[in-house]
Amino acid sequence: MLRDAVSSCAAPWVRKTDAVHFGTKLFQKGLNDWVASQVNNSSMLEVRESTVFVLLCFEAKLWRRTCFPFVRSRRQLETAIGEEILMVDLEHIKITRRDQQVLKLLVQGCSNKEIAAQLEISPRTVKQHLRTLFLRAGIRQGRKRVILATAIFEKEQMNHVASRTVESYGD
Amino acid sequence: MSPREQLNRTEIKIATMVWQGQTNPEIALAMGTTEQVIKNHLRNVFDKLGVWTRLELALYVASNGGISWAAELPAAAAPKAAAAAAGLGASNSN
Repeated sequence: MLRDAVSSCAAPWVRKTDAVHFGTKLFQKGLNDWVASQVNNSSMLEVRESTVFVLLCFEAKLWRRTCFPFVRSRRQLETAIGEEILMVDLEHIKITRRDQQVLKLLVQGCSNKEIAAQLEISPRTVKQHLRTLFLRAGIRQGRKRVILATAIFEKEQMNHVASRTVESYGD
Repeated sequence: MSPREQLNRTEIKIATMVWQGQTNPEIALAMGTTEQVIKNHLRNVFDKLGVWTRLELALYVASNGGISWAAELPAAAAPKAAAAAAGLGASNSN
């Protein structure tokens, strides 16, 4: 129910002029009030307001301009809610063809040097590719390449399983 | 005997934490030891599983069960990822 409310953009206080106040306390207050009212409506959710909202934002793919046309990046969303988003997101981010080549080697367990040798670029370029991927996916602490590699690995496995089931349905 | 069965409890725990993307100091803090002890353990794990880097170790864990490694351990210090997943599940159920 909550999710439907968000995805159909049932936030009455979101107007185009709100974009002007984006990131200001006014906007934040409206955001918090609305989320608080939503949380009060459903007694099931005993999570903090902002956390709920972040989860909802991710589910509704908010930063892909569906509900908030002016939210373009994770950082903007973070400024709006005044909190860090800890969730790793691989579904809604941009991955270029070159990034895909790097990732393919990364999930095989290659080091930066090995990736660089394979793609015939410098190791620092590989690092830069990975750094942008960390930023986009929201990986910012821990052993980042491990987190990225395992996440990509799991995503690939899911896709593999999904495609296999589709094939078996086809038969 | 599969390579995975050669690991003892401590090593399984460390391998799981490496899979979750934690650094050596973080693991040391969680286990209540020093970083060098963790490094020694990791060296043993690498030797037993036949991998060379922690990335390969993480991918080994991911391709051999992944979350089931964490499930075998006693529920201590739930990782952030699990908490986030629980939160998502809660919001999905509504």
